[in-house]
Amino acid sequence: MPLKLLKCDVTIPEREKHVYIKEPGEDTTQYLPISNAATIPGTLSERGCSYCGAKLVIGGVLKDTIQMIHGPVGCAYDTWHTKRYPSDNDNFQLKYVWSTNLKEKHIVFGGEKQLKQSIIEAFQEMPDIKRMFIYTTCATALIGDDPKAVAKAVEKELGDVDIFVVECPGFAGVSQSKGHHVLNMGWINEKVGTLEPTITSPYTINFIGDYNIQGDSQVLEKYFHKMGIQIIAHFTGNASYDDLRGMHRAQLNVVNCARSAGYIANELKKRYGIPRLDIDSWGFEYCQDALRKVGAFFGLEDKAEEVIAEEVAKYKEQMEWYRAGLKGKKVCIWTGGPRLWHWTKALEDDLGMTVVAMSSKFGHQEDFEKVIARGNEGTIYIDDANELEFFEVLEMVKPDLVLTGPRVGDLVKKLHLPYINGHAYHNGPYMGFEGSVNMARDMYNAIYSPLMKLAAIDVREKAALEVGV
Amino acid sequence: MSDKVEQLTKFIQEKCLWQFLSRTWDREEAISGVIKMIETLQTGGQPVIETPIDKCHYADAKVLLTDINKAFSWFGELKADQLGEVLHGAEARLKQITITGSLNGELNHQLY
Amino acid sequence: MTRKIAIYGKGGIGKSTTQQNTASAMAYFHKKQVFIHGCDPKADSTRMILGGKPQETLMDTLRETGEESITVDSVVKTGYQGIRCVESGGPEPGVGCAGRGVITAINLMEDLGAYTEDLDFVFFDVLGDVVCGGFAMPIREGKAEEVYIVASGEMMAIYAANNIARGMLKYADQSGVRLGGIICNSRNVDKELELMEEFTTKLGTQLIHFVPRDNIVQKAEFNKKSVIEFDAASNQANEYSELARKIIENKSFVIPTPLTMDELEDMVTKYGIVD
Repeated sequence: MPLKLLKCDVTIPEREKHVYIKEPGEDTTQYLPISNAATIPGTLSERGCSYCGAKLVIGGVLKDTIQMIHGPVGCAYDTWHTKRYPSDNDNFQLKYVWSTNLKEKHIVFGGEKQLKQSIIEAFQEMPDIKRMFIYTTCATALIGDDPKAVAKAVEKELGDVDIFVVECPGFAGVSQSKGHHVLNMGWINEKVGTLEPTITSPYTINFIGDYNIQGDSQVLEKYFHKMGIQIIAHFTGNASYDDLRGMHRAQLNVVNCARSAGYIANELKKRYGIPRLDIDSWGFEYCQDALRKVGAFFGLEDKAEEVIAEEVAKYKEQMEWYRAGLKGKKVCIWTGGPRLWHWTKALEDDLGMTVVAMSSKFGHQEDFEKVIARGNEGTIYIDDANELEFFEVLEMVKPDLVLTGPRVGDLVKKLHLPYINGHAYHNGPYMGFEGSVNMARDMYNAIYSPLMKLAAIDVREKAALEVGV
Repeated sequence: MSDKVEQLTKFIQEKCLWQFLSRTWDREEAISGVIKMIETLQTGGQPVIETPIDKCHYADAKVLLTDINKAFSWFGELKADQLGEVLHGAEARLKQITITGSLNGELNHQLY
Repeated sequence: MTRKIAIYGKGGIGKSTTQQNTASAMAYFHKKQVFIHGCDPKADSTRMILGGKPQETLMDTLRETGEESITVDSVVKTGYQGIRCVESGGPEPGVGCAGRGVITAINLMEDLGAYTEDLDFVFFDVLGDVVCGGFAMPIREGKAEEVYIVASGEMMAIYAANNIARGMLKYADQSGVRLGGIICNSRNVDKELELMEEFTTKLGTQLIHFVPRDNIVQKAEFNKKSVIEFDAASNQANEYSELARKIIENKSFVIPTPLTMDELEDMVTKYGIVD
């Protein structure tokens, strides 16, 4: 019975359809957990809202764009800079947060005047910035404010600004995933093709689905530049608003996060005939495959091999050292969705670790097809897991390390288990060759640090000395 | 031979993302495209690259073929008709797993 | 080019009846491709086109099966003369947010591409008054470009029409929506035509058509049919054909100039109407 009702779920038996343990000989035509479905009442979901999926994950990454959040002030703080995506212009996007700070009177009388005033104020305060995203939130979507009309009026009034409006209130979908979708479709419909990029190389790509977490995009960019490839736009790591308007001119879309950005890659293929090449930009081996594929696409095989040889020579020894320490260690991957399938085999093949449990907050069934195809037999796969399920699974699999976000990470800490921030990293970047080493180092340090062993000990007592401090 | 089909299917299932594209038509195009390209490359033929999409299949196939040859010593020893049998067998299995037999409820949405 | 039209008017004025008869006349007499999107939570904007078939509303489908499973085929029904119909529906009276329902329904129809290029006219049949932002959704930019208000020679109907014109002002500026005229659905009260003519002139628009009162409308309605389907040769069918023609040929699109309360009171006193 591979779909499993955990003990803690006896009172919410619907959860059985979201929990799967793979057995020998099974494939996804037999069992595939339900996912991207409404959270079941009674389960304490770790999911975020749909607006968050648009703002925190994709839009907020842009380095030269004001992010105007049209709603009560809490919506702004809760999606501000917790993701740590730097930029090469001194982190403009991490330093500021913008909100129309709506109050009761705006809800009753309409918030459009306040929105207009806030937009104009923001542009005046930051005269070098000429681009803006506006987000509706639950409150403003409900009262029927029309931010697109306001944006248009301001564009006309100021003349030199360009504004994109994301109409995706928190309640629009079952999770963050809806926000990714709405932003992707809005951007392709309204902004792609409105600016011609400057082409500087005969080889052009968009890099889609990477958000420059602690510098990921900048690592990848280095490799592509060495190969002579121009990245027209990163969707959206370290990207500028205007780069992303020129996405229609790339010859190839290289896709990492297919969940948050597969939509725009699909539409670019449908509307402009640009092929979609899915790759894994995490993982020491995967990265080599990725560069080889892009090299083969452009006939730049030699260049790809040069980059690979150089990078492998630089980092191979360190990877091997960490492999010796991490081999056989048991790990859980409890993140958003795609990192499950990006990481499971990479950790096993590169470092000899064993992935014993995986859980996704907002993955769709497509993600579970990928992760179950790549994952181990005996591994526990969960959609939209809740707190009690996490505790029960920890009891079942007894991992050495959990890769997850700060919310679940704090639960894990209570059991004195080490966790690594799988969303925003501990000491990234984690992508590319050097990133693989960083990730291995963080995992090694987490597992071998005495910190967790000391956590419940009164350090004045002799016992403290016994753990080696 | 069916044993080889299963080995190859499992290998591709673990390794490749193109079989899991968003919709039925994308998956069909990718699976057929890449497998055809592998057959051409392995038999020393000249791959037909007319569209950017063909080029993408070529890139995926080229890297995968290297990995297949590394993983399975028997692969390089297959005669042309055996190769066709194994590849088309794997193609059919992949389509069965990821398309016709798939439990993914989003595969046939008309929109992305 | 598809022309998108929003029909507003006080509740009970015969707005949905007029709208369905006009749409039927457009299809039957003028061979136009028509789509009706009912935006009234009561979901009664299409029953005469669909022969009274209780239509599963978009909101019903959304509530029961979820957004992902909604397709054009599952919510759009085809009725008399190939007129395509969808009802937004909405929550039970007194709960939830009907305005949000209107927004969600129109967005969904646009995302799914329900308003196809081959259509000549799309009608949004909207609740009696623009009570909140949601009910203004049909006249946002890129949606309805023309508004017709249904009224009659009664004080409350005039007040409501004037109020709708006030609501339109803001959107006239933002989205470019224009008033195409007032349709008088006659109640057979004294000096009705004169009153409506004065009112529409002051509003800066036209009385696009005076639809006389005729019992055949109710008779057809009992039979779950439009007058045109019920009896295309009748005089009333001809009136709707005229209204349809005037809308098709209309060139007068204005930003209305709503009356002040004093002006309205004066006008009502002048015509001595006691409702």
